Amino acid sequence: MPDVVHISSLLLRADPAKLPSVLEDVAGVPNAEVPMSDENGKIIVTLETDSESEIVESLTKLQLIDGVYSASLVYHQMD
Amino acid sequence: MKLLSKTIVASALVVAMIGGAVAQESVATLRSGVALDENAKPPQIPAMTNNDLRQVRNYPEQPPLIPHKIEGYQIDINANKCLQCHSRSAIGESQAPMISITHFMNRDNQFLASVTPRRYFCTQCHVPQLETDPLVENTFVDVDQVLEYVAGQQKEEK
Amino acid sequence: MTGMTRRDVIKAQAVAAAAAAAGMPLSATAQNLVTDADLTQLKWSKAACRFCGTGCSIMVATKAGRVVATHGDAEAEVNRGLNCVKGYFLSKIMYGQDRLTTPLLRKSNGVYDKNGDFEPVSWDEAFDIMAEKWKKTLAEKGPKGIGMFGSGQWTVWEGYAAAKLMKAGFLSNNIDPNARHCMASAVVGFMRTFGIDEPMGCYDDFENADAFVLWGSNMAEMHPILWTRIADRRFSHPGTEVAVLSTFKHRSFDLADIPAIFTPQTDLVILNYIANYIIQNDAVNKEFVEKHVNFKKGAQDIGYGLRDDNPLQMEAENPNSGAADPISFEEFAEFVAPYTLEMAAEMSGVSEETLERLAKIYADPDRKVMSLWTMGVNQHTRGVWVNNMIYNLHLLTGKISTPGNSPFSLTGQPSACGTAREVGTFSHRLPADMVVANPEHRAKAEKIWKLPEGTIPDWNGAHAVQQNRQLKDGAINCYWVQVNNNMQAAPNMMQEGLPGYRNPDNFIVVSDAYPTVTAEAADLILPAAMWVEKEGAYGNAERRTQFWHQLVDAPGDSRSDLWQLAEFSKRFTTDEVWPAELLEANPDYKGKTLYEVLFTNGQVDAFPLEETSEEYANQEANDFGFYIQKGLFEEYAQFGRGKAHDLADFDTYHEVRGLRWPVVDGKETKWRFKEGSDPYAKEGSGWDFYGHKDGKAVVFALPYEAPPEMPDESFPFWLCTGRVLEHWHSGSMTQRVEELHKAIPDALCYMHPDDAAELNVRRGSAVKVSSRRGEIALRVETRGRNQPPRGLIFVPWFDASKLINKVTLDATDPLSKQTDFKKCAVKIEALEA
Repeated sequence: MPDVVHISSLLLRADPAKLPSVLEDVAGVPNAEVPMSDENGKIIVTLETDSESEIVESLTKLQLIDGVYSASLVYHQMD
Repeated sequence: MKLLSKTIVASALVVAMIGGAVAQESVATLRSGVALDENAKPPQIPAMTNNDLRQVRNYPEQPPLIPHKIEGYQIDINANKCLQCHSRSAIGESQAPMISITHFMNRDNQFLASVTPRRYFCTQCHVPQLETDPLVENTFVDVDQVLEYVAGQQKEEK
Repeated sequence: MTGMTRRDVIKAQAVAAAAAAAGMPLSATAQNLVTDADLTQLKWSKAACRFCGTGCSIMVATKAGRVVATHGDAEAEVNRGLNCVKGYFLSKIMYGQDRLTTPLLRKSNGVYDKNGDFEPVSWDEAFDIMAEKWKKTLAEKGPKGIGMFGSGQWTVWEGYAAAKLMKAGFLSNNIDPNARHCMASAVVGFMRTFGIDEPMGCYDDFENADAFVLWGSNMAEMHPILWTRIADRRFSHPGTEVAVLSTFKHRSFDLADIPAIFTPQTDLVILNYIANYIIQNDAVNKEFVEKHVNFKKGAQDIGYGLRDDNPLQMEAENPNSGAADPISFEEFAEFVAPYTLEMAAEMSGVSEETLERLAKIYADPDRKVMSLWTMGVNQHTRGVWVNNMIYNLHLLTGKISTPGNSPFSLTGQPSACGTAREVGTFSHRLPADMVVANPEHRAKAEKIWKLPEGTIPDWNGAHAVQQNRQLKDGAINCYWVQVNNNMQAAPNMMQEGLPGYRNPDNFIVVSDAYPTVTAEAADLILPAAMWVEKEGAYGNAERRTQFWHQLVDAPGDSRSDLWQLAEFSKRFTTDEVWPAELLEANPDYKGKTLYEVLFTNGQVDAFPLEETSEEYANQEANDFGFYIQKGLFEEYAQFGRGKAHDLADFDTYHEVRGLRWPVVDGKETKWRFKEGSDPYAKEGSGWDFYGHKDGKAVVFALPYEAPPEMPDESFPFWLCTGRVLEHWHSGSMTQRVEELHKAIPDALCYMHPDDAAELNVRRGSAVKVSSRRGEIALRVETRGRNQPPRGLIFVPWFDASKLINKVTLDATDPLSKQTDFKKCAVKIEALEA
């Protein structure tokens, strides 16, 4: 199928003390946007990617960011 | 807060994607994990909600639920027990909610002097509730929440 | 979608889902959405109700990609603003948290394994394994090795696409709908008496009749909106009477002037008694009968549709015979003469006084009678006969096809008429009442479908119950179930259904919106879009065809059944599935995919995307690049136009609240077979039953015959199964709506208090209900809405955790192959608290 976009959202839990730097690092991950975050270290990330494997790739990158405790995929839809 | 959550399937998906497959042996949610060829012990018949507290409706067009027992109520060609409290003339004494004015309209949307016979059998639309838990969460959100969400979007934009 | 793009909506949903998971409030969201002022208004659109065959029209409100409210459509003739409690909660049926959003395949160690656990897979992987299994089976066993089971809940074009894919693509007639469990006896009844399917009358009869007779239907719970029309007439038109016949007392008795509880199976006796009464009391409409009626005597001792090696089946003199010989009126009179008042009262247990009152309703020439029935008549080992015998009464008296005079077969499913019957998704049928066994019919279908001569197979495929038997026996190895929950719905689950699905030789695919009992028994589950997540059409019980648009998007990767069928067809070429001779004789078809042959044939793809609505989304049309729903509908409509099944053009149905076919010169037909009302009735005929060549309907002489299993010492109770008002069929939608679930959370064993006392149980006691086939456990109810007589219990089948079809018997009407879910023998034992 041509022109497929995978839209997904992820929930990150990060060290509240490191939130500013984490948000900066998240912004550096390709295709990632942060629509919401709170002072408790919860961050919602949306990804718009061309394939499923890119989601996994981005997820791995997000998990490796300093200060991120966990990253989990909550929603995924192909369009 | 009930929201558009798809966490169950989506989190199954994520684990599958990053290696260790999450597999489900049984999927038929309504059977609570009991295998198809087995029979669970049947739960007790729950009591009927009888607190007379009105419940918020999901949307204005929803018929209100009945917040009291109706066991033994007669609703037949001879009598309608519900109208003894909910009819226009009875509510002064009963202080029960009056049946909606829509119930006085006939098939051609004309108002009648009394309740239209097409609305006579109350339990076709109004049902009591039993004291039991939902089998599966329903993620329906009412229009207020959707509007709040939309308003939030617009505010952020400005 | 007013300002927001589709992807914005998906993204908003993605954010909302994550926010919900995190417990974060949404209003602070910084999601970059395009919005405008229109968003604060609700968008209301029409749709047909997702549930029963009444076909109520619904107004649906959407907002930001969600259904937020529904109510009865005030402009619709059918329901004029009313809904039943299920209909009022339609808004919530799509939002059960466990919606399937990705295909699931049973796997072990990363590969398909029948004994593995379900794992998420992509659509590609799902279709890959499916195509592999289908190709292997087709190569080894031919078209009889595959099967499909659909439903009267398919939209019109989904059922049409499925029937076409099976019959014209895979060249297999092994396709049947669950309408087989529901309406098959009604269909065969129509075909035998009138030679053409579906009711002659319409819902306008409700406002014109003087008497209503229910022959095995609890309309108060199963067709509540039609029941409101009867209540309206009964209370506002003095002299109107309502008669309710059943084997147990239920809610419809609340409106009964003439209540009658009869011994199971003796409806056959009562009907012959009334025919006899009409003749004895000189109430036959002689002019009508002479002009419009033939008499025939049907074959007797026809068996019970059990497996051929079943002793009962082997004992039958004329197993499965629908043969009938012409007889005279006098011979008919003689045939029914033994069915006297005394005999009928004794056999049925109904008082003489009641029986006579009932007979007089039909015999009185000045009273307009509407007879109504559903499963009490159709789910009956002599269901076709009972249908025929009800028509007998209306034909003897000429009370037919005029306002208020109406033998009316009610329908169970939303499109049992529109899809299962009219499209012809049965194993023996083609569209517009044609059958696969008739060479002329096949030729006509091949011409419309632009297929070579001899493409459509001439053999009758396996019907519903037979499909389960063939799965168990390993005759069918690849099986696809769409839009129904047949593991829960089909009879004798423990001996036939479950062993069939779990047979190691078989690969079972189930498409559904929710993980049902049937899905759990499958090997591959495909997530389906439902109801207003796709553009659709249903046809209701009064021949009314109704359309709706796609109003919201389906969640995740779920896709409509139509999309699934068409996508799957891309994976096969004619060379793989058609016989070499057929291709050699027709080389143009060589190397083409089934998708090309069936769906891009110049007809189905004739309407461009530009013709789809600008206001509404259309997932399938966008995916395939043409207006596939319109193309399928217009191709299908060719079958019926000019053949008394005329449908209006596609676009009209999006504008109106449905139309009743035949639609000729833009006008719908209210009463068929009546000159002046039905354009097909010949001038000067008065009535014209044109389904038969001589224009006459048939009165059948048919006897009482006993049911296959009756209570005895070991199994002393009758078991009758059925539905309840608050749940639709197997409950897969309604059990996920909290308010409906709490109204009736569990299936109960409804029984007489004296029977309970004798068994030492009381209301709320746990009991085991068992038959020769299986058992379930449930609680006793002695003062609920259903009040059986002594010796009979009623158990509803909606409850996924109490599967009463483990207990039922897979005996069918031998002619219609429809199961009798209303009669088998069981025993009841107390369980420890």
